[in-house]
Amino acid sequence: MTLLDKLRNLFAPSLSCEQANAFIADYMEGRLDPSLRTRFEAHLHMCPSCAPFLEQYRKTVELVHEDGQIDVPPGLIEHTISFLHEHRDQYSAKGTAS
Amino acid sequence: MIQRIVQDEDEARSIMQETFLQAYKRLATFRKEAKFTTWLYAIGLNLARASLRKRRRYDMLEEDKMDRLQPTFESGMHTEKFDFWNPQRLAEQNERRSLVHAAIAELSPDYRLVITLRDIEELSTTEVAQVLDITEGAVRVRLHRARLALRNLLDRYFR
Repeated sequence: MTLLDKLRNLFAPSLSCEQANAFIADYMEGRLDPSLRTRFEAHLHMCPSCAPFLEQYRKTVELVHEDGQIDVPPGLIEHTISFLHEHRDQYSAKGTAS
Repeated sequence: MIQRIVQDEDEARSIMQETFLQAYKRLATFRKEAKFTTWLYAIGLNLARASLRKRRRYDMLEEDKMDRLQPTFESGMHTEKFDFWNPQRLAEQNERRSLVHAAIAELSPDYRLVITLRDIEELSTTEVAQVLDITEGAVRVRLHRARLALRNLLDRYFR
């Protein structure tokens, strides 16, 4: 960060919780530009609500990723393949007939 | 993805079969600009949505409920206080899994879908935008709101 950027940050108005909330996903994906990231982090340090809120949001994404997968029901793949074989034959027969 | 939308194992099974069948029949219309899997997701999604419409399980009440699960602000500040979640509760793995599934099931179909595609199936934002036929910006907004709603639903279990 250049000296000019540091000076800009120093005098930039601090973010509100509502503004910080809008940047959470971009912050987590590293998509915020350095100056906005600094302001976002400054808000986290001084706000008693936003630090735990961000942690809950991060944890939500983590939990969904770890625990959200639905197990494929037993037999589904075999059942689907035999269904497709059956219909492929019907479909090919129709194509040949027409 | 299909099961997440229709919330019914038998219906999901039949839609999945129909998805592959439709894909087979329409293979000639597949344009190689998108990935094959993205195209397949889009077919499955359309069939699942049609099934939902038939069963009238998609209504505005769900949208209102999703709005109520968003954080609220007054003069730009949170109106609620937040604490870090209880690490012991988070560590209870078996229970945690069913709580996460129950919370996802409470989301509206659109929110369940974006969470499933992006955070579970790990499609990129671009791929999700192609499947849903919306802009990448709209995917980001919808995903954020879906995560916020889910955070709210999980809060009662993990605080």
